[in-house]
Amino acid sequence: MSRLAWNGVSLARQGNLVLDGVSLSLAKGEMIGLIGPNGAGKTALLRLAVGFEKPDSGEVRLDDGLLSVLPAAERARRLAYLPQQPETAWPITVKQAVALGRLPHGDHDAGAVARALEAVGMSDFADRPLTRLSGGERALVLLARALAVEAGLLLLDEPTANLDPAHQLRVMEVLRRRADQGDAVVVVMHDLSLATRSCDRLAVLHRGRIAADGAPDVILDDPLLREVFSITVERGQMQGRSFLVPSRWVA
Amino acid sequence: MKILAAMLALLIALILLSSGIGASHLSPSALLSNNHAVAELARQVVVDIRLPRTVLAILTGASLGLAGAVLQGLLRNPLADPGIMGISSTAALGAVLAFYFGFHLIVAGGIAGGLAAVVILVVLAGRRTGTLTLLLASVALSTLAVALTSLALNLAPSPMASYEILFWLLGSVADRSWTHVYQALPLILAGWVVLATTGRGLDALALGEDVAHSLGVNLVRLRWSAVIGTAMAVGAAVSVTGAIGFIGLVVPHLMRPLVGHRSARLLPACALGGAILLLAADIGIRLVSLTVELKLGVATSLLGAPFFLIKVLRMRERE
Repeated sequence: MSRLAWNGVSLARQGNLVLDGVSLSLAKGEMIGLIGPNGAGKTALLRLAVGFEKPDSGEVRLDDGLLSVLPAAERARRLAYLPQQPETAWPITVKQAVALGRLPHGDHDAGAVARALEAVGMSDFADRPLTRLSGGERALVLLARALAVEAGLLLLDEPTANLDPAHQLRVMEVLRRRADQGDAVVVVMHDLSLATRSCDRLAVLHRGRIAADGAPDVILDDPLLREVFSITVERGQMQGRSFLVPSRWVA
Repeated sequence: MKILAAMLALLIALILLSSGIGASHLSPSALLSNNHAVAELARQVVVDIRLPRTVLAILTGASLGLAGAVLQGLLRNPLADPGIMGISSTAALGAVLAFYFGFHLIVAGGIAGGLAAVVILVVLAGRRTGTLTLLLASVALSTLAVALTSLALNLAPSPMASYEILFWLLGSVADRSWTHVYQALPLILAGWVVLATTGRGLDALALGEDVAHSLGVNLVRLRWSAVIGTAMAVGAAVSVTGAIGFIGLVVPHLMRPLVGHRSARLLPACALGGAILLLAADIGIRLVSLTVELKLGVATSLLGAPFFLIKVLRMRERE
C-alpha cells in the first residue's frame, strides 16, 4: 500500500505543460528526494498533492483513496506540508506557531507540540516570538509545525533553502529520523550532495516529466547529470553512502 | 479571561456614566423621583435620548473593533481598518445615495456600499498584496467615496437635506432614536456572527495562505466571511451613525499586547475594546463643553490620525 501516489498526472498553466504524465509513489518509511532544475515542476507536483490545484489529467491517491474526493479537513490530518517561502505575519510565539499544526485535529494537544519541538531540538525556544529567531531557527520551528500534525506523511518544499550548513544538516537529520520511524517523506531540494546522502530514493523531474527514479547511486549517472542539470560531478564515499559534488557547468 | 472580565466591568461603568451625562443636567436617579413630572422628563432624557446614543456607540465601536481585527488578520496587514480602507466612507456613500434618491432602506444602502468597497479593494489590490498597494487602493476608494458624498451635498435640494448628508460625512451617535437602533441591530448582530466564524482560519493565516490551506482552511469561504461580515456590521452601523474612523485600526493594536494573537481571545477583546473606546470618546465629547457639540467621527479622527502616523513611522523604521 502506498501512502501517496501520483498516477500519470498532467497540469498546464497558461498553455504551458508544467507536468506531463508524471507517475510516482511512496510507501511508509520511505524518504524521496525530488530534484530537478528550476521550473522542472517539483513545486507543482507537491501542490497537486496538497490540493491547491487539480491535475488536468491523471489522479492523486492518498492511502490508495482518491485525493479529489477527500474532505479538506481529512486531507489535512493525513498529510503535512511545508511551503517554500514561509511567512510569519505576527510575532506569535514558537509554541503558538507549532500548535497550528493541531488545527486539523481541532485540539491543542500539548504533547504533540512538545514532541515536535523536541524532535527539532527547539524546546527551549517555546515561548520566544517567532519573528525574533534567526532564519535557521525559524526554519526548524516551521518544520516542527508540520511535524505537529503527526500525519505520517510529510511534503516539504526546499526546507534547506537559505540555511547555513549546520541548519541544513539539522533539518535533514530530523527528516531522516522521521522516515526511519515510519513516516513517508517527500523533500524537494537543490543540493545534490545533501540529497544523495540523506534520501533512500531520488526522483528526477525534467521539463515536467520523471527523467529517473531510484536509488541515488544508480540513477545519478554522468549522462543524466549532463542532460538534466548541465553539470559534471566529482564523486566520493562517506559513512558507507556515496555522495557527489557538482564540479563544472557544461553547455 | 481576567482581562475580558475587567473590560466588561469597565464597559458597564461607562454605560452608567453615559446615561448620566448630557446637555441637560439630569441624573438617572431622577427616574425614581416622587415628582411625576420630573420622573417623566428623566425617562425621556435617559431612556429616549441617552440610551439609544449609548447603545449605538457600543454597537458601532464593537463592529469597528471586530472588523478591524478580522481585516488585519485576513490581509496580514497591521494597517487594515474599515475607515482607512474606505469601507466606512463607501458605506456612508451608500446610505447617502439611498437617502438622496428617497429609498427608505437606508441601512441596505450602507451595507451595499460596504460590500462594494470590500469587493473593489480585494479585486483592485489582490490577495497577496503589499501594504503600499493596499493603502493606495484604499486612498483611491476613500477619496472617490468622499468626493461623491460631497457631490450629493453640493446638489442637495434643501438645507435640511444637506444637514442630513453632512451627518454621514462627520459621523455621530447624537440625536439618534431607538428606531435607528432597531434598524441596524439585526444586521450588525448577523455581521458579528459571520465575523466570529473566521477565528480559526485567521490563526492559520499567520503562517501564510499556503500553510492555512494545507491545514484544511477553506480560504475562499474565509475571505467571503470576512468581507460579508464586515460589510454587514460596519455597513449597518455606518448607515445610522455615519463614518467613524480609526477605531478599527487602533483597537487591535491596543489589545494584542494584552491578550495575545489568538483569535479566540483577540476577536472578543477587540469587540469589547471598540465598544469601550467609542463610548468613552462619546462621553468625552459630551464633557468638553463647547457651544457646538463636537461630532464623534471628528473626535476619533483627531485622536486616531496621529496614532496612524506613528504606526507608519515605526513600519518605515523597520523597513
